[in-house]
Amino acid sequence: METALILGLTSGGACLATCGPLVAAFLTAEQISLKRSAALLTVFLSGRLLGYIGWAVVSWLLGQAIFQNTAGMTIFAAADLVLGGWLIYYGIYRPLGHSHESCPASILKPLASPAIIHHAFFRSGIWGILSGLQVCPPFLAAVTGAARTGSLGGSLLFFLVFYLGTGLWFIPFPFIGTLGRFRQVAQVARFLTLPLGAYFIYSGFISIAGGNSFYG
Amino acid sequence: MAEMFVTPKDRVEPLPGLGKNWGASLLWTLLMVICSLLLFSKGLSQGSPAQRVAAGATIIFLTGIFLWMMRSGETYRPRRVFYVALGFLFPVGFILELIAQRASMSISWEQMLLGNTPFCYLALPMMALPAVLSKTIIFPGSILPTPENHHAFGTMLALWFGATLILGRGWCSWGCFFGGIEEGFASLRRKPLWAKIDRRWTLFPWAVLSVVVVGTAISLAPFYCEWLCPFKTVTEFPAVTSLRTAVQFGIFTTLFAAIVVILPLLTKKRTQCSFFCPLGPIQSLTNKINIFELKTDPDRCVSCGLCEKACPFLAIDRGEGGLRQVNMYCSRCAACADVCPKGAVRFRIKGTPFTVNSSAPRMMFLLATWIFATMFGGSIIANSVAKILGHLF
Repeated sequence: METALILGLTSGGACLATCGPLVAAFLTAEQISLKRSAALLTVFLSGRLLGYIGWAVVSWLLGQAIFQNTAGMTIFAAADLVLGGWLIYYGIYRPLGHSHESCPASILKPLASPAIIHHAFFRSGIWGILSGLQVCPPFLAAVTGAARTGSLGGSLLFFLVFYLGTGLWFIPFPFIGTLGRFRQVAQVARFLTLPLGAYFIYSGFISIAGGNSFYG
Repeated sequence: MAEMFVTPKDRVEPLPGLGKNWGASLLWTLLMVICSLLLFSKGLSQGSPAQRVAAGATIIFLTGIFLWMMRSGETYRPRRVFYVALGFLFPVGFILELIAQRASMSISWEQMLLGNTPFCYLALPMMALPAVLSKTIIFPGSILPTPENHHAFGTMLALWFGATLILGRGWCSWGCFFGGIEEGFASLRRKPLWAKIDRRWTLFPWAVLSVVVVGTAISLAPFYCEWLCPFKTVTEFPAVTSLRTAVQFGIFTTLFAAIVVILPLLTKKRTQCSFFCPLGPIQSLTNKINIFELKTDPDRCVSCGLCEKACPFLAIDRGEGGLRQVNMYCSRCAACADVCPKGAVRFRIKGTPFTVNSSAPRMMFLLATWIFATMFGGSIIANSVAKILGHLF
């Protein structure tokens, strides 16, 4: 579960950098009090947790289908190498989101627009689920990690720890107005995907080479 | 570097040196000679012949550098000579010591666990969280000095904290011996081959710091030392006994080659210090509590941009109307102050107004800094020279 926590803490920054503008736009769309903002964020994060649970189930099924033999393990190791490279590319070359459009979940925006869902709390919950179901490099990295656990419970626990790691980054959002250096924080957060990518490349390399584990 | 610096005939404002006033220059220098003699008295009186020669040579070297700073008013170039010497002599002395002790630069886990590894200040930022969580210092060394190991955690923390109070991030240009290596490579070329550097990389050390702190807290092992420190290449590294240690060695050497040798050579910037070192952000924050600063006088700045080009840390921002401002990443190397043709960038004591041709803040900074540099860097230089002499003769 160390991997899940490291993954969550490091990629949570990337989530913040990518999807932060979406959450900020959504929380500051109207003039709301800090209390209401915190309540909306709680509903959003709860919805996000549901999305993560969905990924945990998918990861378990994927693990059952692929991760049962040597060939499957090699596929996962190769996936780690590809994901590691993708994470590094993502951290260096993908520009910071100037708007909420940078978040992969924003393609599903029409489904949760105020025109369709009028109630703010319900809308924030739907947004949370959608942002938790998105496909981005850190999520795919989590999928390969969870699939390796080999059981549904392990996969759920992996995604729960991953969720807690990423969720920490969203706590300051009710105070977003006071964060004058958001862009610098978001950039640092984006850079965190570089060491994360290096870790995945190392992990894939060690798996293929048949060496020992990271802390072994 | 010469073409980047303004020549005396181009300079509208003179540098804040003592010029032809030999008396004043010598008087200030004499003060530093007395300090040096006191600090090296043991080496001079009780040491081996090699130690005596080394102590004497170091005193002469330090005196020459200080006199140069006093007379010319230049800070950057004399400091660089001292700092590069420190940067290159430290690993030589360290390696010779390792060779003498165990005939190898590599160290086994058994030896590390005995606690005989000298504590390195680069590990300070990652020690705090595990110390709070586990009430132990996870670095495989001792907390207090022992007869076998004087460079314990407590010694280094006290030294670093004291130096930081005086220098702020000046530690990175006057104290940290690792930075001298890349400064040496950065000063080899006259012009940079790669001048356009994306400034967002100055934020990367914050990411490294975050990873190191979290990684250390989770693994309860010195994560940076195990996986990321480029300077393992020229000091002490874990013996390569498995695929894992081979990868670690590969990371150390690749990082060293890339950010300590090649990039400084191409960019003329201190790339490891500016874009990687996890201690850098902490040192930058200490600039906030330090009384000295380098600041631009807005009435004098002509927005020529020479200071921005000369700064090895990308610590000069463009403000409104192209006005250059020194930011929190400044390491007080004074390249900007030396290169400014109008004398707009200068040392200042925080809260005081700019005064015409005032050299007092610079002098105060230099006196405090040079006493520290003599004590810390000077003793390392003397030690290393003594080891080289002992090895040769």
